[in-house]
Amino acid sequence: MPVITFGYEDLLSLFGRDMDIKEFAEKIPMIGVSVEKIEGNEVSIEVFPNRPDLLSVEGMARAMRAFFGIESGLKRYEVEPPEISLTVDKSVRDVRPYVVAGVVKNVEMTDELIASLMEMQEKLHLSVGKGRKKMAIGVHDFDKVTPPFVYRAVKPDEISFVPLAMEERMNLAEILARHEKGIAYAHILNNFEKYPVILDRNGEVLSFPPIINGQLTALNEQTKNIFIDVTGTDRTAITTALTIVATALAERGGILQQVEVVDDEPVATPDLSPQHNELHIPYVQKLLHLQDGESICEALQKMGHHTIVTGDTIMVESPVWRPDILHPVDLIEDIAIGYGYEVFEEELPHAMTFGSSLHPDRLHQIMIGLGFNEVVTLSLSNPEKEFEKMGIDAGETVELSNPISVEHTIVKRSLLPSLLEILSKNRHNDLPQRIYEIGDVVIFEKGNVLQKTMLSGMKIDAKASFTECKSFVEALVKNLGFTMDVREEHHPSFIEGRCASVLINGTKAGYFGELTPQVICNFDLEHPVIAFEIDLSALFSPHEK
Amino acid sequence: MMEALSPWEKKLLLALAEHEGTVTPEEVDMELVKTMNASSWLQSKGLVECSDSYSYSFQLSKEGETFLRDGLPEKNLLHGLERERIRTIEERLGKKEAKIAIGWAKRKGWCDIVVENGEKFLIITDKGKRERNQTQPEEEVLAKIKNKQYDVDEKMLQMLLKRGAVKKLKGNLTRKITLTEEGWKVVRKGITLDEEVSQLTAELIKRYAQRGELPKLRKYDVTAFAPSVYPGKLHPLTQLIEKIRKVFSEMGFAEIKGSYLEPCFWNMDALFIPQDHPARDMQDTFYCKKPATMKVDGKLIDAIARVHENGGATGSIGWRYNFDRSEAERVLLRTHSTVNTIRYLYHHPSPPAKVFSIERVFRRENIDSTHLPEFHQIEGIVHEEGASFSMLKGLLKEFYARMGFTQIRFRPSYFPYTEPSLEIEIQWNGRWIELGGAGIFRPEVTIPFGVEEPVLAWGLGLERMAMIVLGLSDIRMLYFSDLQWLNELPLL
Repeated sequence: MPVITFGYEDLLSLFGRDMDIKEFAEKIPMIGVSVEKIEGNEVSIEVFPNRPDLLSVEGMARAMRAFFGIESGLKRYEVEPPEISLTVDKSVRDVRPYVVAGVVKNVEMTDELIASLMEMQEKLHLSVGKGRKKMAIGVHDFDKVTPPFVYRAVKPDEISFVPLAMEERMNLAEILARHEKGIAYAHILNNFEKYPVILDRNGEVLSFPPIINGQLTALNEQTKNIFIDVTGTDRTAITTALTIVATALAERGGILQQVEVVDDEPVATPDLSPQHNELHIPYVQKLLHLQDGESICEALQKMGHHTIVTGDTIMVESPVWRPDILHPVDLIEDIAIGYGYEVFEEELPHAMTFGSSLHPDRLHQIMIGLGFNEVVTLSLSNPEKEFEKMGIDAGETVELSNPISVEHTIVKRSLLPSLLEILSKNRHNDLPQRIYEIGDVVIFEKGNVLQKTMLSGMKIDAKASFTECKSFVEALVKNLGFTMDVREEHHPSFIEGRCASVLINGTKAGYFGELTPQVICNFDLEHPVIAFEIDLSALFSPHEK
Repeated sequence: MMEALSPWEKKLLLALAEHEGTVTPEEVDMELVKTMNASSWLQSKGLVECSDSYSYSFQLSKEGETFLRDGLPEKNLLHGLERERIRTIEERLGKKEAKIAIGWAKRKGWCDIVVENGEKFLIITDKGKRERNQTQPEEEVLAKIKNKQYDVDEKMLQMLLKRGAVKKLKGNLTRKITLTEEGWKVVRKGITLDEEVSQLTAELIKRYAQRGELPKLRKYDVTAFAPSVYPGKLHPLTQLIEKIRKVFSEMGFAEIKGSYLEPCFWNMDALFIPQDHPARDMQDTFYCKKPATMKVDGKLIDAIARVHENGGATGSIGWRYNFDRSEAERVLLRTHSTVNTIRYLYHHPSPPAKVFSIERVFRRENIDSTHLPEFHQIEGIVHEEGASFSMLKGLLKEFYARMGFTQIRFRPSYFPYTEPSLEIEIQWNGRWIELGGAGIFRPEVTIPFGVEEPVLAWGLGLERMAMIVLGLSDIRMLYFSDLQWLNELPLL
């Protein structure tokens, strides 16, 4: 989840009121963020992905002003109508179809503003932009270029310009090959014949989205007026990002002015008109047990919404920078947060239901009674451990397509290899060692995937025999109320003539015996090992375990 | 105290009294092993003091024998020499032998090496000329060792050990047993050797039954050490799971179970997790190469696709993107057990229902002290008419109180499938620790399956709770357990 970092003093100056940093650390989580770290003046806050509007210090201050009652309700900004335009050429449709833009005038370039702009762009690119793929932002010194602007796709060698952090002109292909950002984001433009650019009237390049801006429009301390472009593949994402960046600048005193984006139809962006939702008070009452319409509205206002009550319905106007409101239920959460999670009364369910448990109690009882220690092992494993070391053919097994290590590439089919591994890790401990596990494995049976529950046990000692193993298995099966038959079994992990299968009611339910010296050595063990594995799924339906 | 002494201990005390309080085991008329054991026990009781010393014996190695017979190599080297080319010496003795002999001769100051016209020469010093015909101290020591006389110069001995001329043999333990003040007190009180029996046998019982005879049964020192035995037991993780099962079933919850392998549809899509959500990334989730797909009812996919695209009939605007249907049947290792509860709701859409599961889930994580690629989640739902946020809070509070955690708080959180969502934190050692998430299932999740009443849901971490309860700092202890650690660990 994205984390934003800012200066606490900067936050307080935007917040407009003093607050002890300890109080902040205690109260801010109740808005719906986590305090990651506080070091002196530097604060790092983790923001949930549904609230990109909190990914800037300005947005955080705005939410706090509403939440702490300094300026509750919907925050409205003055927006001047468009004076300039950005034309969208059809050539961008295949590669990166959408663009919105805005102008912010009279900006005072402070260190805090520059730091905040960089931080919010980076974090928005990551979360809303999914690594710039879905959305990317460009911020420019407006006075260095001449409108109107055009957004079009060109061939990689058709245009060259000086990109940020470079001194020479490079064409688009060269930027992807050599520029640090080009290398980092080239994959987004893979497989496209033309790349998108934003040009001014004189053909000067503002940006090569989503890769890099031109050096020409780089911001500096003298910058007064800012042009913002947001391009991408998802309309909601670019609209959200533009309103978040533009209103953040407005929070610091900038004057917002729209840009006419001319696509099939011209639209003026950013469009800050609120979203409208109808919220039925009985719905709120049902989920939150809040009776009083007034406190519901108050809670909504603390979360930055405007409310108009009509009978049983609240007309809610919500800020456009809140893309997370998909359903009235999202407003209900805001009511709960505004009201205060800690304030809600607690109650218990009323419905009468019967409890039950799947704990394989009897199995554990028998195994513990036989002096075995239960162990727990991972279900993920690898063919070397499961098959090679056990001396068996691989056969069919569940394979991962994106394992994270060579240790864990498949899902195990038997518990025995993992039990051997436990013994192997316990060579320094006294003998005898008796261990067992009840756990699930996944096997292929006639092409179908089946998850089965196994009970497997193992004993290592200076002496350990087939007969002793048979005694254990018999004790287990008898105490479960079954009678067992035994048939000689040939299993490559077991010594020939010292392995048997267990038959219960005529069905094969498992096997046991003495492991071969080869298997014992493969797990770096030095003493005889007896082992058994019983398929519990063959004995019980899940509820009988 | 007196009564708690074994006959052997008494015998040893008597022998000590006879020898004015100090003996070596050899001086006692008892089996050596018995004397050693008895003295150790008496020492643990504070009646004697044992001082042990090891004495070593030595032996000449093959090389040492040669040194003794033929003289030291450095001495032989210098024999009859004034000056010679190093290369000639090497040719005569072999490179290795020459190097050793020259090394020792140089160390003793018997020779110098000079370079003339690029050629190295060995020149014998006056000291060399003087000493080369004398018997060397090494040779004296070697001769003594050969005669099993080990009272030799320690420095010289160490040097010969280093030269490999002498070998150290296994040491012999020499014990000196001395009565302590406390021991003298016991001896002075007088020690009597009665006929005593330590082990009650069937034969003695029979004799007692028939004839009423019973020899004196020796008293035990009840404070004495007894060897440890360990019962077989449940793994601590299972013990904790069992406790949680008990709490939930007592609260009226029925346990359910699901599968490791799930299609994206149930694990992700049905839970309204958009297809570009980071949790669905190859970075975070294990996908299966085999089996790569699993059949899902096409009608269900259609219904859920609509919910993602435009909200369908749920009253939501949806995520507004083009849902890729082929993705729905792709197989993954379940990333959360919420997949169990959504499947349950699909099959049981009518309230009331209270179910829980404690099962393994998988995340694409490298193993370290706080991460594993698989771990357990404690999952549950309450589906009933009138289920509310207050009920969710109350229920979780009740659960954790029954688990022994009374300091608990809830704060806003986010999950794609619940609204409102909350995070549960408990106070532990003065810190708030996150234990899990919860919320009310979104209409986008419940309505497509005909579930009309609110469903309270939670997914809590088991391993983190286990680490708190067991005081563990390394999660690997649970899955790669040391058996001795398990043996020593008390039951929860």
